[in-house]
Amino acid sequence: MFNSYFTRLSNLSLLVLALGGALSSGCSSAPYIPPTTERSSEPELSTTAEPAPEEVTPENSEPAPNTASNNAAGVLLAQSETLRQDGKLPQAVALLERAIRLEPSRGDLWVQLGRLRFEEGELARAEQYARKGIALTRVAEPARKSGWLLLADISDARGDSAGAQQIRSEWLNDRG
Amino acid sequence: MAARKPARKKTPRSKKKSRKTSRASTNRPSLLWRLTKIGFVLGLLGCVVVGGYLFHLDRTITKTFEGRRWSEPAQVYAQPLELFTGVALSQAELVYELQRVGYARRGTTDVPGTFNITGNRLRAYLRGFEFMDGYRDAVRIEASFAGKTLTALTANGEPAVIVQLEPPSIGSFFPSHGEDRVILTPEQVPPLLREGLKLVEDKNFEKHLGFDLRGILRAVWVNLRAGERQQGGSTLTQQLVKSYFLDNRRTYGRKLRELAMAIILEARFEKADLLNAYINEIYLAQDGARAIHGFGLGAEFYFNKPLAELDTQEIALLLTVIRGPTHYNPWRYSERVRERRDRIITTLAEGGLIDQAEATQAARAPLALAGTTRPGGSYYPAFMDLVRDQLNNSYPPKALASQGLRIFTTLKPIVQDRLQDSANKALAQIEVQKPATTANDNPLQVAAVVTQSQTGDVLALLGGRGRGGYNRALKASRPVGSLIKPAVYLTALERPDFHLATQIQDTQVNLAQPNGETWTPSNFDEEVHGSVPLIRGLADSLNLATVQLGLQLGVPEITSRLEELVADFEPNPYPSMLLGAVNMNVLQVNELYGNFASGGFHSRPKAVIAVLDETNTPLSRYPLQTTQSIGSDAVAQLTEGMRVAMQRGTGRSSQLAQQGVAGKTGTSNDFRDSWFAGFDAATLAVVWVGFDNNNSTGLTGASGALRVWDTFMTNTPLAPLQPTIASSETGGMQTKQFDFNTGLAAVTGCARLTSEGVLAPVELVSVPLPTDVELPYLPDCEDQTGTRIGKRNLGDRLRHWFGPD
Repeated sequence: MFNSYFTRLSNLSLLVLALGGALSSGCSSAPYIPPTTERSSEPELSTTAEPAPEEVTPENSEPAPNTASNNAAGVLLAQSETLRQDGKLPQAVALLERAIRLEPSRGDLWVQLGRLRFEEGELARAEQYARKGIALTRVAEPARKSGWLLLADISDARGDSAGAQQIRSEWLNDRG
Repeated sequence: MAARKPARKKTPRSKKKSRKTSRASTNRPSLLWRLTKIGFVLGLLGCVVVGGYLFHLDRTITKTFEGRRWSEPAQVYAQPLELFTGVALSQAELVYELQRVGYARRGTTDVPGTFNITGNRLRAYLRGFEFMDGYRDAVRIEASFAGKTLTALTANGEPAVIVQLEPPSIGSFFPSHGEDRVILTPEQVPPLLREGLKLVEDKNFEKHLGFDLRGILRAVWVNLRAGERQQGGSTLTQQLVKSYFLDNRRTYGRKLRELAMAIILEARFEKADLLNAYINEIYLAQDGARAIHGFGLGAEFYFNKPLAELDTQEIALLLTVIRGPTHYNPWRYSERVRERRDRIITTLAEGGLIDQAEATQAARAPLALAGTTRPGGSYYPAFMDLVRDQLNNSYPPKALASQGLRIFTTLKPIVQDRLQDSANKALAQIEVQKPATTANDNPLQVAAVVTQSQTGDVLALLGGRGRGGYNRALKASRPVGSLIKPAVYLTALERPDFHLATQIQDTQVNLAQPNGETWTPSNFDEEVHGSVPLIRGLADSLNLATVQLGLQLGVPEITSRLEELVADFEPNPYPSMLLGAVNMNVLQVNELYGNFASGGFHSRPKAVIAVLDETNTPLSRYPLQTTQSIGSDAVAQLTEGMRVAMQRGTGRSSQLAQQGVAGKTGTSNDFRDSWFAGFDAATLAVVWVGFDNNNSTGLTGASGALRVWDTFMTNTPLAPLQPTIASSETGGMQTKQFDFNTGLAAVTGCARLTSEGVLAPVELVSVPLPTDVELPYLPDCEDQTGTRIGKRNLGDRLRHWFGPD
């Protein structure tokens, strides 16, 4: 079902390589070897390579805590971001959930999942993911800021601009 | 029906008439004529009855056949193993996991489904697989290992970041009868099996009408000559019918019924359909309480690999056991089985299905069964119950019965096997050390659940000591004892006037009950400890302190908090709930503790990730569900309290007590239930140990369930809890040091006078407290930076009191 993106991703292997390297200080910068087979039985999927988007660096791709699966989860995060930019939100969510299952304590993954849900219009779920992301990140981590800003965006989307403003100032307090 | 009515009406009339006439005159129709008429009527009646019966048989067998043939079951998968550089996975573990999904170790890995090992490198040719998020083509991988870590990974010769191994199928839902099968389409059946079946079991299959007179005669002849039952006269169709109704009584009535049904099936369906139904239906083995039906599951059971990968001798073995899985149990009667297997190999060669060289080679091969320690068999009935429950809650039964669903679940077979082994090992040890636990009508039992603490994914679920049977994890709802206490302490910590060092009163409780009696709970050590800090009440599980605190907070407040933390919490309005007089199963306890283990987020334990239809379109995904349920400051303090419970409280007998885990013991009245719930930064595991008949086990939470938990967690890569960060960094909380027994601040090495008048070193704990909390110091234990009396350590004080200072 979702395999056309694998093809596209294979065309992005250089990009992924660079991103994987950036995400994982000290980790191997090996490229992800994506599945390459297209199934002819799925006509709705394009088999032509699409051009790589100009920017694939996700908002929260800053160096993450140095853990074992850092590279793997980081690469999945990057791929998810690519899918998001292609407008394939359900697939982007599925890939990010896979990354979270690899490294559930990484706050930046949860914040990004919240951002995807926000874009899908699922505000309640987005809010909870953002809160979880914030709870799992240190104050100095950029993902924490992204989490607060997402909470503010959610308030805005709910028409509560005062609440959004308050959250933005809370973020200022949060910095300690 | 039209024929019946006139017949019935006619009969009495004609009888009456004939009686009258016989009296009137003898010159009437003869006796013969009358008998003929009666015979005719009775014959007609008989035809009607037989016809009706045949009609009934037709309905029954056709419905059964159609029902099974057309309900392509839902396949259920575990989580795929993720391979990436740095993952904690040894080479041996990967081999085990490859074997679990039926990979064979070969000299060369030139076909998918094979692997080989050279030193610390493992090469495997992974099969193509339709994963949850798309198809992954077959791929050659090479993994290197250093100890328990995968250190390098390539895919098709290129360095790779992450590769998934296809997930084991852990069962299927067969909508019409709820059993698990591995259903095969005709294309998935190896020709050798298909043709071999006919050759060995039913030579005239393609020609006969459901029964085979020549076959029966031949069987009689062969059996007479051999002096034993070597051949059966039943056709495959008859065997299929027999298998549907599982009736082993050898009566003529049953034989006739089978025969009639076989003829009906032959009349109604194609031979190919019948053969395929046989292949998916036939009874092949007994695995405890679970019957193994069908060659797909049979291949998994006997050889732990897909049917498509079986060798000639393995197919011959399956052809052997269909004649009688008990009589030809290859583990028990290997010689008998070998003999018949080799005879079948000869038959296959004589029938031209294999050549002579192949036959010779096959006959030389050992039985090569999956070992008794075979990787799991990958069937987890307790977990499957949970999957079924969760699906039934979100789908109408009809949707689940639709064709070819694929269900991706959260189960991690590695974790499940580890949990099962740990439980069996720990319980066996307990039984040796405490023989009283074996002096019961039935054995000591266990239920356990392991979840990923941030997501609520159920990684493993244990319903008892064996694999199948009564599923205690879902069905045994038992009093939780002290496991409830964290909810009491949480309710306190969420109020501005409480923190971990707040003094609470461990004093006698005498509570008048509505029935006129007085409730007088006591501490486990039967003592009263007076004023203690809140953390000690929790960590030492003091009953009196907890009840006093709970009464102060209010039972309804605590109950409503519990209702927020556990979706299906069943409250008990009486104060006895403060000591855990509420019934929960391990899943519900897991749900409660998930709030703590995740840093204050509620998730219902979850077993299903996605359901895909036969075109691999997601019918639904079950998104990660998480809702903030506890503020960060309260949950940080509570978790620290449970960490201290492990370090120096009721969990201190744990081997991991000092290694960054948090947990709580629970023991119900009269030691009927032994509980433990504990977590590190990644994993939450809840264990119950007890008897099914509710007898006393003599075990506390620490001497029973904690032992299982400990065995499991020491075999699991540990992720120590990190000191809580966020709230302390934002200024709301600060780590402070104080004496565990008194709740008073003190410096390291200081001493205090106990209530017994003994001088004892302070037991310092460092835990987060609200920044504005100023704890008074223990006398003479101040942090000496000014000009007050000097800091005195234990040595100083002893000298001061007893020596010539």
